[in-house]
Amino acid sequence: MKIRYILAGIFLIIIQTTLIFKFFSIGDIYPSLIKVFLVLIALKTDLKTSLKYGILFGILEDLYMNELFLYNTLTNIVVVYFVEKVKYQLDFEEIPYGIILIVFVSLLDISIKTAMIFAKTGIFYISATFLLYALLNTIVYLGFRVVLIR
Amino acid sequence: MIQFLRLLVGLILSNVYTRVLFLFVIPILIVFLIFLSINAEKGSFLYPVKTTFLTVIYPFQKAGAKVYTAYTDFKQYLKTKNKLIEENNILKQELDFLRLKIIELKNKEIENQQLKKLLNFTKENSEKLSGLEYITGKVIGISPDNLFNFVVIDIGENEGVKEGDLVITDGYLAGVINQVSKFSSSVLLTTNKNFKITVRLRNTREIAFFQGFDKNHGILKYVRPEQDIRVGDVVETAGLGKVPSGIPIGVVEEVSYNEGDFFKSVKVKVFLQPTKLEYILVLKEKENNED
Repeated sequence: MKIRYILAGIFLIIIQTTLIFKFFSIGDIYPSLIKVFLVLIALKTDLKTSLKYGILFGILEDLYMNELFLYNTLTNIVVVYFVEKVKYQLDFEEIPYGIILIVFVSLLDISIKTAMIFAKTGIFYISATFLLYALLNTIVYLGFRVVLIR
Repeated sequence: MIQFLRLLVGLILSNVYTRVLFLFVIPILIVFLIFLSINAEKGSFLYPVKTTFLTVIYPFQKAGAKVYTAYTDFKQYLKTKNKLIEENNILKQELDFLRLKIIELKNKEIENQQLKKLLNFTKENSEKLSGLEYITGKVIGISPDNLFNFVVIDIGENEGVKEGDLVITDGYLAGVINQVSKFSSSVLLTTNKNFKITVRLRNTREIAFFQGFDKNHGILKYVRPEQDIRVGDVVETAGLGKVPSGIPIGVVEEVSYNEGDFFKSVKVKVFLQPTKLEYILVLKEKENNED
């Protein structure tokens, strides 16, 4: 595990929790910086390493959210596993494929969490506004590509 | 003396121009000046002469004044050009500073209004809140997740905040404290799916169970078909346990019931607007409440 990835992840988690993050939102929908970052890590590293990152970042998020149900940890594990499975099928360095991957991962993230919330609270709620989540994540992904992958 | 005068007159009359000047122009000017200096009242024969003269010379005076002003201004401008540029820069800086001040004051005004609302709430509900203390706090953090609505406020254990304390904003229930650290606490908002509380309907006095649903709604659970739930009725805290009664949460937006179902389906539009949440009031039990 690279210390700079860990520090970058912690930095992104902190940014996500501050009021500054409101600038990243559309309406009241926020992107997930850490999820997009995790996808980029999973594309670059092997399953074992990216799982470690996923679990670490997930636990940190869940600690902040006071969620003993470990929504983020479990979602991150699934996301990393999924990315590792498909990453050799297509060239995700190509932007269009990268966008498709991010959109799919975003929808997967929402679906898993919705299912878990249903299991815990009995409330099943899914809204079309969550498509904005995928859109925002795509914008973040493109931003990350500009900054990180040069 | 007489010789001097003779010499002077001789000099004047010897030249054509000076002769014209002294014999015509100067006497005419003197006459005009006399006219102007006489306090001609309305009705006197001199009055129209004087005013006509003033009217005639007005455009020349005006034009002259303009030329003079332009000249002096230009002269001044040339003299003080650099000084003006410097002053202009200072003024621009001052303007920017004042603009910032205006923005700051506007923000303060908004803050003031919000705090006033909170204060009014405590005054208006002093009976309901007897036995409770309140602390004001400010939102400093948000939930990064779209499915879990909570905020973080800038007061915590040091200020006496405890888990389970109710949080109020603008006179309605915002949520409940669910995590406390030394300096900050997280507030589970009424729209969070994990938020649950026993409520009462203001008009029909029916008791129900409220749970958060989405970013703007909650639902009433386990509402029996015979319960009188009406659209537009205000949902407020029931006052069970330590929770004070009558704190509004939202308004019933939709009621539906399908024959054969055990319970009615009731959707509540909550008053809380999570994105606009800024100042909150934490209600906590008084320290010496036991005696």
